Amino acid sequence: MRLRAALLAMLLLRAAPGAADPPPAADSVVTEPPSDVPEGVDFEVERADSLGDASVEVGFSASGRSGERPRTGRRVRFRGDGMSAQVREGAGDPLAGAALDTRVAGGVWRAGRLAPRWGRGLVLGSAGLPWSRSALDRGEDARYRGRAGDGLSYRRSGRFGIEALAGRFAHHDLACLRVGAAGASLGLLGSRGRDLQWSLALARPGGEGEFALERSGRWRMEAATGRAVGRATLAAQARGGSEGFRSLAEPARSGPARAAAVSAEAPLRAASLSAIGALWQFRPGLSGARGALEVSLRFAQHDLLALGVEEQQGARRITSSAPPGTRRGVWTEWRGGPPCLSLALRHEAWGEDRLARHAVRVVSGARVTACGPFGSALEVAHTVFHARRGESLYLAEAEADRLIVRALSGDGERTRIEFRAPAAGGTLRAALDLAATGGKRPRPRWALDWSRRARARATGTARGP
Amino acid sequence: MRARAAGVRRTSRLAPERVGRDDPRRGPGAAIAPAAGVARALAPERVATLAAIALLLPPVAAPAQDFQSPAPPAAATPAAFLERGLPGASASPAAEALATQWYEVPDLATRALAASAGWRSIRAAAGISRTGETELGWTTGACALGVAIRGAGAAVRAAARRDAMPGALAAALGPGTGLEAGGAAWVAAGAGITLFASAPQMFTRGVSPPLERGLEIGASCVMDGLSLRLTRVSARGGAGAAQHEAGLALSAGPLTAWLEARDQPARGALGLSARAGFLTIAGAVESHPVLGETVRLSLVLSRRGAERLASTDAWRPESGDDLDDDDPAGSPAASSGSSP
Repeated sequence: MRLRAALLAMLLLRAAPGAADPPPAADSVVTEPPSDVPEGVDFEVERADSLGDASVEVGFSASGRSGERPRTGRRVRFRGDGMSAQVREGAGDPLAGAALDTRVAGGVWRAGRLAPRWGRGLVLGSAGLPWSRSALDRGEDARYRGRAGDGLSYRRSGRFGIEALAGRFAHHDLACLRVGAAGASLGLLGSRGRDLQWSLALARPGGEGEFALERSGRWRMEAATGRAVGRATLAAQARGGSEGFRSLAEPARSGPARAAAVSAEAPLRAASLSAIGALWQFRPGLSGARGALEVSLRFAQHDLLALGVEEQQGARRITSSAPPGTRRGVWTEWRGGPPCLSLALRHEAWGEDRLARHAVRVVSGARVTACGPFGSALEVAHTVFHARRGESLYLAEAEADRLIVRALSGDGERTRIEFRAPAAGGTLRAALDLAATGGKRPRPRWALDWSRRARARATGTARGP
Repeated sequence: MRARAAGVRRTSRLAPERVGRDDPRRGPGAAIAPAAGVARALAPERVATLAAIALLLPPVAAPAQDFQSPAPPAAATPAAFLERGLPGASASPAAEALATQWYEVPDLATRALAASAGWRSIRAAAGISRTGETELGWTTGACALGVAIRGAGAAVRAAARRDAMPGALAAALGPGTGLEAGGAAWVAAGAGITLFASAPQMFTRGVSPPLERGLEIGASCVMDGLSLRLTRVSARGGAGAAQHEAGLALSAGPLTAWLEARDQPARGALGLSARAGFLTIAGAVESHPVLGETVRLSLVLSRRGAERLASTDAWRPESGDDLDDDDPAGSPAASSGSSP
């Protein structure tokens, strides 16, 4: 009943234009992998840093772990004169592949790795996590470049937009076509097995919505809005539909059938308040909720102190096992120091009772970053963690070209040492990870990466695709 | 001084089973055999006393061991630099002599010498320590090297130990030999507040250290003659309960008195130091509810004001300086579902 009321309230919210677009909601990639990645498994995603016009980047990497064969990789990126391309190669590299973008016939053709997003993502490009406003690795403006499938796409923006796509997604051959005008769009996605899904989307400055329908009659609808109230920014989203609806392209990211989420962010002088509340239901008996509040304080020396509390209930993704009980978490984080020698401390505890008592996950970490001569830098991070059996814990590692969300479990500690220095006209990064769990000796994990960016001499008007 | 109880996976130098971890190729029986040789060489009552200490102590992280200095909260001494890796703000040379009587056990005492010096922003320290008697004792050599700039400091530290009877315990680095290394950093956050982190045992090799020490995170605040320190020490390897400490010191002229409290189990310490010219004499008594009292004494030679951990002024930003708040991996431990 509470969920239905919340859903109704969300749907009644009008998509009114706000003074500013709402901020992106919680970054699902930052704290945990997307829902299509099994729990307890490492996740790697490519950074979406863009090259300047007429630029080329080459990179070589090697990584390994004691007792395992080293993994090498190479990558080349190029951008200029209406064309951009990138190739990644490496045995065992989950990001290996190629992508080519070129501007032809008034639009952009892309071949290779695809991560499109239509509307709210019900058919293509969902975040999968009910509290996420949008997936951070889907769509043109995403912070990370994900991989939903491989194929060929054409996209033309403007007064009349058109987007066509053919490729292999989730072990299915799919073809899609979408046309749009004045913020409205209609799309059709079909598979070789004659499954069809329709998407009708509407986007306005203050909000957007999408209605998806599949041939069997199952449907899903989602709307999101955001508006500025004074200095605060409020955002809300709601979803409803059939329990059995699954995106043909990304069934594992279909998320819950019913969900409602609200978020708020308010700057108060040196402080910043952010809050999120979400309810969702995959099916009767499999539902969840999440509520969190974080206060960030900025000081004169650019130091940052953040304090937060959160409560989670129920299942966060579709699972056949019994959902976990209530989890209550508290965390505090402080960052500061001179630019050449900064320190970051964080402590986080999750428990079954108030104030994180009867702990199920506890993480304490410290990170020191020191800059050296000739542009070199050294970073040392040490983390001690405890995760009860069945609990998942993730630590983010920033590599040169990717973000790795490392899954950890049990009791242990991890030390990560990273060194960066200019070398041979590029940048060399060396990292060493020492992670020990369960009292076992640590198995060192190392990584080396060298990359160089060069800008070609201008040959004319450069236009990026 | 505390060791892990029997049955805990890592054991101390006071517990004979410790050798089993260092040589996985040896079976459990092989691990106990040399330790039994040590036990036979010792007087029964001495072994019983030391074993009782090892068994009674709770399995929690320990704050310090070979170079634990009886110093008030937020103070920096050469021994503290070696013990925790936190370099002092001052580059003035200093020397320190330490004596610790552990838990009223006559043969369990630590004597140490430490010295530190600095040049520009570089800080270094070295020291040697001896704990216990001939049969069941060890010698420790330690060094630390780091930097201290305006508003921040960081260092690495390492300690190598060798048993008084090294032939009894085989290990990867040689009989009765062990090595530990780690680091620490502090940053002045302004208003007299200093935040610090210390992980003195990031890396261990050979014979296990006498005490397992996890990540220590804390803050200290100095206001005129009053200083306060709050610390959380994680259990090494994440297994076990964390320990919390609080210290409060009051200075009046050359005299400083301080109180410290710890949990796991609950206990307290009382300390007093007096300064005359270049000389500082300090003493502290810690009372353990089960094991009795530990008495620490120190003699420090240093310039006045050189004992402060952090410089008085915090760093002030220049234009263009900023921290990368958008980096998801920038957080030292961003875990599941932690941010709204």
